[in-house]
Amino acid sequence: LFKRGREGLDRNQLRQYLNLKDERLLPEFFNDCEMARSLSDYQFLYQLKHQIINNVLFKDLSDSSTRDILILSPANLHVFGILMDIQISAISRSFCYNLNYRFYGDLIGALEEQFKHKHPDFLMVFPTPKVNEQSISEISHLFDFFKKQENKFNGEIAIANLPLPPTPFPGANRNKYFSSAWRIAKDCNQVFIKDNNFSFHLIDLEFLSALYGTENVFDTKQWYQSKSPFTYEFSNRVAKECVALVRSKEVTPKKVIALDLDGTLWKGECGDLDVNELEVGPGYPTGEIFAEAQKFFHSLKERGFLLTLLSKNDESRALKTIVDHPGMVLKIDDFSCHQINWDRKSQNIVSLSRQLNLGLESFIFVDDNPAEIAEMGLYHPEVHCVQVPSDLSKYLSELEADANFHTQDLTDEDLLRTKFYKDQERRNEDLKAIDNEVLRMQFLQTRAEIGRLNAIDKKRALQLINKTNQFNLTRCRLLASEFEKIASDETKQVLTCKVWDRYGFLGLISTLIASKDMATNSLWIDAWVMSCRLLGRNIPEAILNQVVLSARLEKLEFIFGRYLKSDRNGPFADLYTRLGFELLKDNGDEKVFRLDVSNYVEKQTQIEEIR
Amino acid sequence: VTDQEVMSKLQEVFDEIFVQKIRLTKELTAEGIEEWDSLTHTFLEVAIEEKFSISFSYGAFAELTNIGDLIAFIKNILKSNEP
Repeated sequence: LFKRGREGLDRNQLRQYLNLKDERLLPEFFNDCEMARSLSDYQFLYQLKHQIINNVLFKDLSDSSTRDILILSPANLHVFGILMDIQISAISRSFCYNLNYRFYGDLIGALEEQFKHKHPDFLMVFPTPKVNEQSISEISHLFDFFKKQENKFNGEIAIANLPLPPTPFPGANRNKYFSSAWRIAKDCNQVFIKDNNFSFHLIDLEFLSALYGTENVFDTKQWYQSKSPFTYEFSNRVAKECVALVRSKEVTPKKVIALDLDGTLWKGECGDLDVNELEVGPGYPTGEIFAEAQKFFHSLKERGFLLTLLSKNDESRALKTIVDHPGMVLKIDDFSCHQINWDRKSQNIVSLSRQLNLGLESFIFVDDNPAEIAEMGLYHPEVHCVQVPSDLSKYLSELEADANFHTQDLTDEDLLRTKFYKDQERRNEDLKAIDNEVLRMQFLQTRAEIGRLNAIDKKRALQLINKTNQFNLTRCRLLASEFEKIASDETKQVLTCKVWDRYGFLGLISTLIASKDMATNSLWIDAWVMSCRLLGRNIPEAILNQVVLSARLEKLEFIFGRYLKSDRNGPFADLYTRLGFELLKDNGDEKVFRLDVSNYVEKQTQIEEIR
Repeated sequence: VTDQEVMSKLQEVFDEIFVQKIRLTKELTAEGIEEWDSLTHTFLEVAIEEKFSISFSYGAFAELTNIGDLIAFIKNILKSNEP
């Protein structure tokens, strides 16, 4: 609708948004926001946005997708706030409000005051970037305050550390003087990393200032005139980092990396050359580059990504190369699965996605051939494609710069645990006010995703089996190799259940293993474990609904459940009876139950079941 | 440079920054213009510096009283920048 002018955004056309009364044009406006490049673009769009909110569309914007972001700082970060406001609008298609808080003095007092009124979805705190002798104790205070707030605060918290000061004073030995600005800033930043036992995010201004060149960070004139500390360019860089953080909460993270072989993991074509002619590892001119790239992929595997191979090659020759080449950093066992043949990669990646039971939107594809990248982009735009640069010296740095490889902290279930307990406290607090069970369930808005085990969840599903004592109906314990065998057995089913509620993701909380018995035309539940954190939410009922559904699809008549007594699982001895099973056999320590599939009436769970 | 040349370049800057259409005159001040708050003032300073490739000295921009003042001030800087 509105075309851009030859240089930047056409102001007269943008002004026409003010006369529009139709919220369907908002996406157009957001598109224009995304085109903003210069400071005046941002300022203009910011003003325009607020006039649109005030005059035209206020009602339509107060929906649940609105994100509320609060930026707090003793320095004036208005400029920075505007940059973020427009960038977040453009990216997430939702409005956010920046409440730049301008005050001098007690930051903690201001925070406490703010928390009384409202909890924003995201709170970003920027300590004043000018340091003095009190800075270290102030920062320590702030840090301790947030550690205490973690349990009470209803959103995400991000705290910025300090950019490194550009002053050369007091000379070459500045690093040795405790009172030099350089040393103080560095000591302050140590406070942020002295322990990792907190769940808030760190906005790393130390890194960004170093990346940017500390001399280009501060705008001393604007600091004295308006307490605005940073140059426009640096503010923009920081805003981008913060926007990426907010955005990472909204998009599906990538989980699988599909790697090409020739030109991606080594130099040369393994179909034509002997193993020792392929360059990877020390001793080859470019071998080190490929070894470093492999190290990078290996580190991603350590952080939870799955590695797969997607190559047009002779399969046995390619696999033999991986095993035999002494320079390989990645070993054959590092790859979860592979598709090595001469078919189109856009087809092969679908096979990988099926094998892993993970959608294509969680894939990253790395290849050196632009034609392959183009083909993938054409058929599967949801796959993120990475082209190996023709200047190989840039290979590693380009990989490292790609945000799709960046993992947010707090994805691992173990790391999430602190958040679980913190949310639990808030949940209990909120639930106290509701005395009706039905209303409570409605309030919680529980969602359960129940489905076949996928490759990413394997580790967690097994871990849950091996550490659950109470809701573990058959005292099940499995070795990784045993579990692996079960997972790949056609006659067995492994189901997992992941749960969300209004406070966020609660994790993978149940694993169920069942096997088909063709002789009796029935399904046996061999093992069923569930984390006890979520009892009372009808989750076993929801899982049973799913088990019955799949039994019906396979035309099975009965479902059998077993209970083996242990010291800890007593409370669940009659779980199957409660779920409507009939007790068939009971010799104290072992009970067997049966459910007639044809008579089963789907249980009403009051939770949203995603299958 | 003439006053008129500076004025028309300034008009371009104002058109880029203000949503509301503002017609510049030498007597114009921030008074009564809703969008022209202290923050916009800061942006305006940066945008003018960029447009004319000049740099205002500390505190100078805040002391100007109206557009006529600003034009004279810019002309002065441009003149002193001439080789």
